[in-house]
Amino acid sequence: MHLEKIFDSIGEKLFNYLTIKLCSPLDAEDVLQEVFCRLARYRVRFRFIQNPSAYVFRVARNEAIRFLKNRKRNPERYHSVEKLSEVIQDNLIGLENEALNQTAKALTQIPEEQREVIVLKFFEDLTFKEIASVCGISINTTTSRFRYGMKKLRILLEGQHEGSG
Amino acid sequence: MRDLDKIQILLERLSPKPLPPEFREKILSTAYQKQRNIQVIIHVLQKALFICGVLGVMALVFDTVITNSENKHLAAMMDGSQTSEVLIEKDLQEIAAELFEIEYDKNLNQWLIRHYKTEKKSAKLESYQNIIEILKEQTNEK
Repeated sequence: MHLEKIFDSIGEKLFNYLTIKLCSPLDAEDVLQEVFCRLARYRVRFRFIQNPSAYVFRVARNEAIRFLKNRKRNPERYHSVEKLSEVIQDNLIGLENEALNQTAKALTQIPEEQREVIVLKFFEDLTFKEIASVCGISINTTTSRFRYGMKKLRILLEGQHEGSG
Repeated sequence: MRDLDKIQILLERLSPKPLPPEFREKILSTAYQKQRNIQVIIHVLQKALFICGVLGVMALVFDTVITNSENKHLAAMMDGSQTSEVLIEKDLQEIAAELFEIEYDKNLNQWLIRHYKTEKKSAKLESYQNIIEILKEQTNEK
């Protein structure tokens, strides 16, 4: 599989995932660049890899974690709700719709681990098995993070509805 | 449960903005450039490794050759000393015979012969060599 094919199939999803993970499109671009350089450098033989897209997401996730460690950024401060909300507003379309806008805002308020699973599930269209492989966790943990995340989203959205109502 | 389905539908409707057209080219061209750089470095390293290997083999071969030559030399000096001794003795006899024929400076000749006999008793190879040198010098002077 050539780099062009990889980019055409999951490049946009990767960039979106990294933007939400790093809370910065510029950092996401740097990390995405490094991911592709890494793939090119090691001439990854994709025919020996069962699930190339999950593999590339795993590489991107590792690269993002390395990037954050190198920058010595405090993830709590880095993933501030305001910053994340701003990034999501800038990078998602369809937010003119009030319900979608509220959902996107609620997404910024759930814990990072749960948000990551939800983002990978809905935005990047990965299966639970693939998400488990990307995050290096079991499928049970993945599904439970997803469940808890969705519950929190529901609570947050209900609260917003009640508040607006 | 119904609420969760609704949230899922909402989340599915959220989609990321498309990437700018030059973004793809930028990422891929940089990646390929780095790949080419790495290939050049790998090529240079392979050549360096090959040269080092060849030099290493050459060093081993030369070392073996030199060691063999040294061993032969040492064998000639130590183990093969009898052969050398025979040769030296032969030389000495020839030179001594020539010296006997020379009439003048008989004292020197006698000293040389005495010296040769003394040294021969002690059977020192180095002494024989010294005698040969002295005798050769003397013969040349005459």
